[in-house]
Amino acid sequence: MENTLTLHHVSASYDGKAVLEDISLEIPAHGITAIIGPSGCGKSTLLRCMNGMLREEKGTGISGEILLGGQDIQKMEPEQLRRRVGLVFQTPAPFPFSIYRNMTYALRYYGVRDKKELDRQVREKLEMAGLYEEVSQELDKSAHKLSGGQQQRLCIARALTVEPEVLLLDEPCSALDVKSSSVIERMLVQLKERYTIVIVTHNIAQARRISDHVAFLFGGRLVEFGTTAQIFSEPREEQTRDFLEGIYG
Amino acid sequence: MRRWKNRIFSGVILAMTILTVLILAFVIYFIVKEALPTFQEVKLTDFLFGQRWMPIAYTGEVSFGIFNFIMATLYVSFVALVIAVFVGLGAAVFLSCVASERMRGILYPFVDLLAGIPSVIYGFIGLAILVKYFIRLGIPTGSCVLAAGILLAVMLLPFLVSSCSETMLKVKEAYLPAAEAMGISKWYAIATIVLPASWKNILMSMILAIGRAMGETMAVMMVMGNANLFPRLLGKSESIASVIALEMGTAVVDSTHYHALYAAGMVLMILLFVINLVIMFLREKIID
Repeated sequence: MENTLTLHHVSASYDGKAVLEDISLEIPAHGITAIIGPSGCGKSTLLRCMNGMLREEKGTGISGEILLGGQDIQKMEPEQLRRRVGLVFQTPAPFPFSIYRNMTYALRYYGVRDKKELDRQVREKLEMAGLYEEVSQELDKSAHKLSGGQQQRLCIARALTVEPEVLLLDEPCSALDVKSSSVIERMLVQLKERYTIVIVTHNIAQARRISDHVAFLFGGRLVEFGTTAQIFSEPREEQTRDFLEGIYG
Repeated sequence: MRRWKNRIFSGVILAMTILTVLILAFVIYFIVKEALPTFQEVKLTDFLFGQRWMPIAYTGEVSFGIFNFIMATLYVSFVALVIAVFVGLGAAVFLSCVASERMRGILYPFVDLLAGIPSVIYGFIGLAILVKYFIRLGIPTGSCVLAAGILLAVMLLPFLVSSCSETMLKVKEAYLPAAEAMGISKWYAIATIVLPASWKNILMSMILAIGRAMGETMAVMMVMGNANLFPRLLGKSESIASVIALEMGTAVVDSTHYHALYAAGMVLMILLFVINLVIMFLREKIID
């Protein structure tokens, strides 16, 4: 399959302390892969490995190989890699500009100057994020005036402006209310036709609702990976079953 | 019992607040009261725009014109602020966006220490080092507005650096990861997000700095030459604060000279007030 992220024996450590151990994983294209597991099991670290951000942090060690469409990400320029693998953070962080400038910020950086093209992109990506109708009349308004859920959708739309192949989301709904979360969930399901999505989530029910595949991490190890149906109906590992039943987490 | 304690406590802090405000009111009242008699002898326009300052009639008539002092005060503050903002912003960007946490921990105290050096020491260093360089550059006696401006800039730096870098650090932590996650280079993000978002705070610290600059007496006095001349970058001049400090001790109490010095002080206060208002207005207008 094209555009797939493949991890071969990836291990990571912070200041010599192992956080991820020997993780091998294939993330299928055009689907949603949820990474679940208890707090501190290395979910976010795994996500940050995938766009090379972990590599740049001080005191981190990474071994193993991560392939993006068959290409080793270690050998790619960080800028190039991040254009292809977008990341959305837990707390929405719209830049302190207008909605429009938030959306065109990266495009301008990458040299798009044509006003029509910018307008088209802004509209297209905001529509994908299901935000266009809500904000079309006030694109000049400060992005900070939006509600939390709208801000997060703006951040997702913003991440899409650089046309990534893979979109990583680090607990994108944890700071949002139920209604905003469900809007984002619906949007992610629509987005998977164009993008490969990897979502870290604390919310098991959310993983069950939207994902096609689930990876269960525990103590820095990949315990189980399978289709969502399989993981939730007949988990192979006892630890997975315990976690899903709420014995820990 | 507890209720009484609470009452006493709020009474005491209220009294302290009133005391603080009263002190300010008293200072203003006192300066205005001592300044006003000047204008019975000297016309306001002559005082503000006259260039001749001759408080005692050694030769010819007495004359009280502080135009050169006003211009010198504004000029040296402006020069200092330009240098300090330039250097200070650079230092703040470095401290907040480039330096590691450990390096910041080491460098911050040094910046703060700059603020703790007494101004007479700055003046002394200015005399011993800066002025000498200016002599070598061919400026007679070496004292000049630029020397005072440079010295003053160093004194303003800690204010600008510490308040700007704190804001920038917060802004950077909030937005830089999101920009980097889109593959945007760090420097582009600093120039287009961190600096604009810190603008408000930069202006605010400029207000603080300009207040300090215009009122600073000792260091400026020691290197600016103290001659009543229209300020030029490489020429001698004298600031309002210097005139007051130099002449107050010898002015006969209740003479016009004495009152004129108070009037000069009042002008300095009004100038500062107006500049603060303008900057505040600009802040509201441009940024919000």
